[in-house]
Amino acid sequence: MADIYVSNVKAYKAKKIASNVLLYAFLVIVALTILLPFYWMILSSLKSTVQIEQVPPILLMAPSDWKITNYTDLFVLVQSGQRAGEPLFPFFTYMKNTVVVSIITTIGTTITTVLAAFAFARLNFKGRDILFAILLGTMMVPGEIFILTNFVTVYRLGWYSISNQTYLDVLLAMTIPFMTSVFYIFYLRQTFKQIPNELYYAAKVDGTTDFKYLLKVMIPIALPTIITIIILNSMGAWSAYIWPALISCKDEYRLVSNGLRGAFTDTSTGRTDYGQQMAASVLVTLPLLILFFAFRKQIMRGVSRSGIKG
Amino acid sequence: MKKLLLSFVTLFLTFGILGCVTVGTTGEYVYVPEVMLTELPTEDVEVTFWHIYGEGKTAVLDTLIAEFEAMFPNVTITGTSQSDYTTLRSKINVGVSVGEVPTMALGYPDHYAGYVNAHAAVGLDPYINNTIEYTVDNPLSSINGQTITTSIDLTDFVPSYLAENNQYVGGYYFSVPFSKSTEVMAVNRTVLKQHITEIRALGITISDNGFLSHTVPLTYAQLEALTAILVNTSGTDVAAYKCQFLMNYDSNANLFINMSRQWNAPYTNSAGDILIDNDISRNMLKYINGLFGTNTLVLPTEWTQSYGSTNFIYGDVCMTVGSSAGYSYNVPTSEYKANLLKFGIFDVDFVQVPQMVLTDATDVAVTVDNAAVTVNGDLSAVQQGPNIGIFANATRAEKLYAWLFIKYLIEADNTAWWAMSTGYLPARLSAFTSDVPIAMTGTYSVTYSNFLQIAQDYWAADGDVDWLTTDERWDYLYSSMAANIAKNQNDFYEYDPAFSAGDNSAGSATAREEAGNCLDDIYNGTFSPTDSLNNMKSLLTW
Repeated sequence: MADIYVSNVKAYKAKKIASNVLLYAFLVIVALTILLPFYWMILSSLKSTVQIEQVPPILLMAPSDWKITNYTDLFVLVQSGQRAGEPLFPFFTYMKNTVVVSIITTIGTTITTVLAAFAFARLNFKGRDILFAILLGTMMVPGEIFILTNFVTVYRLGWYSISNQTYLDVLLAMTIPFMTSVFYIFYLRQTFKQIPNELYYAAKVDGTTDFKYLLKVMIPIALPTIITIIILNSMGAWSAYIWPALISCKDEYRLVSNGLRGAFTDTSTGRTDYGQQMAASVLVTLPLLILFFAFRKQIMRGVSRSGIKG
Repeated sequence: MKKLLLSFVTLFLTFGILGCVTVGTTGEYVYVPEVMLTELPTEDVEVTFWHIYGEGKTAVLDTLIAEFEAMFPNVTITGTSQSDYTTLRSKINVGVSVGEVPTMALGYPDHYAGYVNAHAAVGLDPYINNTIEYTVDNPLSSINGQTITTSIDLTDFVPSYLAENNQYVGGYYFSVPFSKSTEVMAVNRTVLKQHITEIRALGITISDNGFLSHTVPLTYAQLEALTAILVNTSGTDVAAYKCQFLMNYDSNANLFINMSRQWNAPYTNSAGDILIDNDISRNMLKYINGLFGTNTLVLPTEWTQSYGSTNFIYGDVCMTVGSSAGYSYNVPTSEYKANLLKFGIFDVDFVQVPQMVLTDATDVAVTVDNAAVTVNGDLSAVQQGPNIGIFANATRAEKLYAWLFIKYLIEADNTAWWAMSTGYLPARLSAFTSDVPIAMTGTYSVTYSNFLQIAQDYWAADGDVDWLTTDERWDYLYSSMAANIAKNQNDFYEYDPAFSAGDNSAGSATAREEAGNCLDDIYNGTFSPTDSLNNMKSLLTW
């Protein structure tokens, strides 16, 4: 009996070890798949153009071979012209613009999303369902279709002017058109609808206003979903490319995504200095990584609770 | 039932609302000539100029802007880089819808074709032919009291540059040439030098030190013959001085389009017709496929690269065709790992791009599918690079000063300086003989004609020059070679007809892209030449 027990335990342990080996091997492969592009970006940022084009590619480099000038050259000051005295790649200017636009857009989107989702989930008013259905219907229209109409609107509001565009104009133009998202409203409405009606009625009996109920009850319960919306929206705003490129008239109003695109391409030949471009990409990615590591507990909690992965 | 009804109502309302958006139509183009001002405006004028230049070229441009503003102190030229051509074009296209576009901008011919269709570009003929003399009356001006005109001498421009810029409507100019380049062929002279006798036996002119002719291009028939001498298909053979491939062509699209002209094969026209469905194009592609098969011709896709320069430097291929502005990418240096350079740091020379027909335009017979085919096309080399034009919604004062600025940019001395500083080619013929010294470094100045002379002296001495190692001419030798070759190809530059996408076919930019894909598909074995052409046609027409 004891022998059977021992052999069962051994078999169990063997199975457990085998499954763990398989699991961790899989996880290592997935981790490498995710990390490889980052490694390649950092490695390329330390190579010269000749080294980048080398066949077979260089997979490892000794520190003595690193081309640190890819980084330092980014901060070399422009000697003449309208940007004289500014760095070749105005990293801090672009980053400041990106952070400001991301924050404003995210705050705006979150406010409109919460209020609209609450209205559609909780309040009873005439035409609510048809209005919501119309909103959902607009999700079928690709975002690119709205570019021209948004541009005309922004122009008529006086936020787009080749000669006289101010920083405030460009901030308004970059953020206001993207302060609502039908998908996020739909997403949060579904979460709100899962909150039992009884809580609302109980709050009403206690004399609570709708807004107070939203603030005190619904938002805390739906916080993981709201955090997910904030993360997704921030990522979207951070990597936005087409609209910011269209709407900013001056170089100093650009976002990092636009700055990275053409700053390192030789316009005569169309060839890109990938080493410098990757160095700039590393610098742009760094703040996001720092933020992620600083707030990873909150982010992971928000993502895992809501069941949505960014 | 209620939900079904709701869905219908929703869809109706959604698309109904969207349907309310009016899409502008361009309609038939009616040319309205600009009315010229009779006096120079004295009020403050801002000219906004959109380009795509980075720091280096912007610095050169800014110097020219400063000089212009010194001549016209009431004018401010605000140059803004839009980082890349796609962004530049998109912003102008969207801006046209609200009438908010820059005063002037760089653009490729297909960009200007779109602007003309949208009635957004200004016809420049009234400025070019204007006979009014303007007196500069501003004590702050560096040319105060002088008389100026807006007219320019069109005979001073490379004819095909002009043809590119008046191809749109009624033969009017809607842009003028600014930054131009072409293709040139870099050759591994170290390899050639080892086969002088065999090459001469083919009737090809080559000097004792391996310089091919710089005025007479090689023909593809000669390249086929050279393959037997210079190529070892199983891999580069360093001991025998043979490469794995004879010639790389960086731009697959340029290869297709340039070959079409050399074969006299219809490609596209300014009306937007896609004309590739013809026997000449089919034979051309079969011929090219034959060149691929013998390793006479290779595309960068062979090495999964965008350009073949690196493999040229590695010694995988003996010759490579690329942009004249990118000549430096084809020169091996000590920066490369020595063990990768099969022929070490070899000698490089630049020659004209190969041609199907001879320089005397004699027909050439080639074999396609075991049958003799006569080729009776033209000599052809691509001309590329952006032009510059003015937009219609600017004020008359802005347009006048924008034109004067353009005229200043393309003055012989300025276009020569621009060319030497940026790697582009001068827009005007008189720039080639310009005798204005241009400071290239703190200690070195050179006129454009003397800049061209650097390579000419080197070639005349068969590479045996007694220049000191510190002589600054070494620094400009290869750029001078590329500039000379480009100049020697002036007579047979050709341009792509430019047109926007229409009801039945794609635009010229897409046609060009698919022409390149067509050759890549043949090279990679994805399609046979005929199927690849059919595939290209199906992608471009509907």
